[in-house]
Parts: sequence; C-alpha cells; structure tokens
Amino acid sequence: MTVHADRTELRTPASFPFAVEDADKVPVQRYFDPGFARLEKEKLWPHVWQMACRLDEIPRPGDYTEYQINDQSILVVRESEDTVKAYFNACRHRATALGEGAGTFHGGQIVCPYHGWRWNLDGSNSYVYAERGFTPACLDPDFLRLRECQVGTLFGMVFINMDPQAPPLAEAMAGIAEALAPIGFERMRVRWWRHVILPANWKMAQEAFMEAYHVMQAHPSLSMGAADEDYDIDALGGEFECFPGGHGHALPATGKVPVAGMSMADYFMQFNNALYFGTDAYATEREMFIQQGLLERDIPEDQFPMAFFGALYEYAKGAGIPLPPPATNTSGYGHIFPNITVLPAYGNSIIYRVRPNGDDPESCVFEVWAVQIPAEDDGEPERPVLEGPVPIEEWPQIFKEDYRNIVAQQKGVHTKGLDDLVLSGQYEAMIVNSHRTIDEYLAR
Amino acid sequence: MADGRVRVEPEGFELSVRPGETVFEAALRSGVTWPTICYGQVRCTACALRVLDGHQNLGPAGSTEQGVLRQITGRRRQWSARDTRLACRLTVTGDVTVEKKGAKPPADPQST
Repeated sequence: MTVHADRTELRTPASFPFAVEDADKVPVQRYFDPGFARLEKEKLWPHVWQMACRLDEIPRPGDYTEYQINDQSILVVRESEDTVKAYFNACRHRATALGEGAGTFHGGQIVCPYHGWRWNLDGSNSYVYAERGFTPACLDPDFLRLRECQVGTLFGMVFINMDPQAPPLAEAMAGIAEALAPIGFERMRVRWWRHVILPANWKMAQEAFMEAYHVMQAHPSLSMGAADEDYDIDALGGEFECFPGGHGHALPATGKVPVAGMSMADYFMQFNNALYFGTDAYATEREMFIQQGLLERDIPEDQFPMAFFGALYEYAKGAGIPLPPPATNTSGYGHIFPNITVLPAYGNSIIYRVRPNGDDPESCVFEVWAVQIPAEDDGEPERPVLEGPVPIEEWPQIFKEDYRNIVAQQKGVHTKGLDDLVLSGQYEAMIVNSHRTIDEYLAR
Repeated sequence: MADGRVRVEPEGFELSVRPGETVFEAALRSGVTWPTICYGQVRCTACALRVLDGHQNLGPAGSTEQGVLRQITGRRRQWSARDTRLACRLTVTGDVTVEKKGAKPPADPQST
C-alpha cells in the first residue's frame, strides 16, 4: 500500500499570509517571518497535542518537570502511580512560578516559594497562609485550583494540550498510534538526552529529519560512495503513509540494497557501523556485539540480515530484553505532528523534538533522545537529565552533517529570488503533510 | 546496601532510611511529622537537624544544601556548621543519631 500526502485536497483557503497554496511549494517566509511565528504561537501551539516530557522523567508520585513552549511554562506532575497532571506554572496568588526545571514535590505538596501557599498533586489548594486577610471570593476552592492542561500518554511520552476544547489525544493520534505500536517505544528507556540550539526555524530543523532523500548527498557514510542514481532512494525511505493529523511514517524497506553493486551483507554491516559511530543511538554496542559474532560464521551474503535478526532475538531472550516481534507494516521511521520524529531499529530509537526558542522565528531548541529497551537486570534507571546545549561541532558525524545543512538552509531562505522551497510529494511526503496540517490550525 | 537507622532525639524514635533516600523523604514515608514549610525544595531550612553521632555515615552535602545552610549556621551558636544538615538533602549509609525538635513519630508505631 502506498499513500502519499494528499496533494490535491488543500481544504484551507489562504486566510492568512504565507499559506501553502500549492502543496509542492512552501513559501520561505514560513521559516523567518515574525508574523507567521506569532500566528503559530496563537493558533498552533496552544491548541495542538504536544509531547511535554517522557514518563520516565517523572517516575514516582510527586516528581515533576517543567515544559516550556513559546512563553508558556507548564508543570507536568506525576500525581500517582498511574496518573499524570499538567498545570500552568503560576501561583494563584501573585503568579510566581511554582517549580523550575525538574524535581520532586515531597509530601504531595506544591509550595509557592513566595508566600507559602500550597496545593495537592491533584491541583486542589491545601493551604493559604493567614487566609483571614483575603475575601471569601479569593478563597473559593475552584478559584484557587491550579489551572490545568489536558494530558494523555502514548509511546512512553506525556502529551499535553492547553486547549480544554481540543479532542482527546487518542483522536488526535489516530493512524500513527496504530502504525507505530509494533515498535514498542513504551518499553524503551533513555540512554542519553542532549540538545543543541540551532540558528534556524523549528520547522526547518525538523524537516531535515523528515525525509531520507538527503542521504545520498548529505551522509557519505550511509550512501557508501554511491554517486547520484547509484544510490537508490526507493530501496529505503522512498514510500510514506501519511495521516490527516499531520503524522506519517515510512513503509518497510524493500529489502533491496540501495547501493549499486554492494552485497546485502556488506551494506547491512556498514549501515549499522555508520549509524553506531555516526549517532551512537540507532545502532548501539549491543548490535555491534551481535554483528561481530556473526562475522566468525559462514553466512551466505544475502542471508546476513536474517541471521543478524536471528542472533539479535536469541541474545535478547537470553538477556531478558523484551523485544517486540519485527514490525511488518512500518519501517518505524515516522513523524508525530507537530514536532516529534522517531527513527527506531532493533529495540532502540532516536527521538527528535524541536521547539521554537522563545519568540525568535530563527532559533530553535533541538533535542535528541537515544532510547533502548533495557535488559531485565539493568535495574530501575535514573531520571534522565538533559545535557547541553552541545555545540554543533561536538556532535557525532551524522548529526553534524544534518545540523550544518539546516544552518545553510536558514541562510538560503533569505536570499532574493527564492520565493518557495520545492518538495517532492513522494520522498518528502511527511513534510508536505506537516505543512498542510499546520495550515489547518492557522486557518481556524 | 542495607537501610540506615536514624535515631531522632529528643523524642527518641527510630527511622529507617533507604539507600539514596533523604531523611525527610523517609520521615514522610513513615508517617513521621517533620517540620517544613517548603516540603523538600531545599529552601526553607525548617527541616534542619543537628547530627549528634554517626558523622562517618552521612552522605555528602551538595552545594545547594551548603548554600542554604549558610543562612542558619554560624549566626546561632546551637547550629554548628559541622553538625548541621538539611533533612531534605541528607542521605545516610549507616546508623546516625540526630536531634530534631518538633519531629514526632507516627501516632501508630506500627506504621514505621
């Protein structure tokens, strides 16, 4: 089945500047115009389901982490073993932010550091100091309650929506939730979590990871010396299925070797090696160990991937790693609208999240998680801690190559004579679909 | 690693503290009443205790705790810098005896 982004049906009339009118063309102003960024701030972010944190950031009741988007600060709080709440981060008295960064509200109390007002983890007020000084209306329990966002969880992530009228998460994630379910994201735990501040629009940065079309030119370690058409994009990341909510995923690889004249065994091993050294995430020491073990066995070239997966599942069984069965209807590579992109393999995944950096349309916060399904005896992991910002030049090679292109694109969009970016409806289908969905929000 | 036993004077009750857990967290978990107004955010100093014995079994004091402790040590004679810690940051690796006025065991002693 091949479903490309819907190019014919652009339902949104151009009710705002720089709307996408021809699905193949993206007006450059969407990447730098302050008015367009303001429109996103007003119409997109306050109404869209977005990942606020991972569940493993707040493992125990009372644990919290602060999520920031534009000028909004939201506290995501583990209320109990199986409930999570999200509160706008402001004291109901005089607006003081109640928490910063990440931590734990001990004793089930969220305490304002200014005058000592307190709230229970369910958002109800538990204490107002010297309350005799306030009118009854100011002390009304409903008035004193912390203001909340909608909360939902999927793939081990906590999603929030600031809009109380927004449809529930399950509805917003229709299609992608089912498509990526076989990957087992919710079993994965954080190996590392780093970020970089990129001098580019948030969409520009994430779109570098929403297609595989750039692999031939941008990543020599992955195209392995194949020039131009000798690297076959259709073998890996050439077909996408897109969903109305803005999400999409790449269909399974064809099983063909993308590099002309290369054996499957050589390609498979070099691909894993390149991603191990080039990302330290997609492939990890675990897979390198398994791959090394296979080199000592006599395996026919074309059967190498099968042998690898056989050894991987055997190893996982022995180590108590609950790998889900191989996915048959997805490659796993996908985009969760508006700003999460996942690139999984072998019970691991790279996860990207990109947010505008405050109100600056040409700066973004780019985060990368390396996650993995842990072995049984790995024990309870620590709460992950965000590292960085890590400068571009200190990232592994493949990330560096992508970041440099993002910086160069942001430079290019300002040049005279360039009105639009051009997109392939097939190879860049997830980007087309994302812009279409953004415009649905902006037109509301 | 085994739990540390913290004896709390002057009430004279014992508190079992898990590895990595703070004395304040152990107190809340055990139903012990322990003075605080910031609830473990390393801000208010109301949970400060005096270490009477077992100094070798104290976890290290980080810079945040030390910074907050400077507000109460030295100025008042009863809080010597050497013996004063914040319960909300103090971990233990063995038996310790502390003094904390206002700390009270749970009404039902079984719940510790």
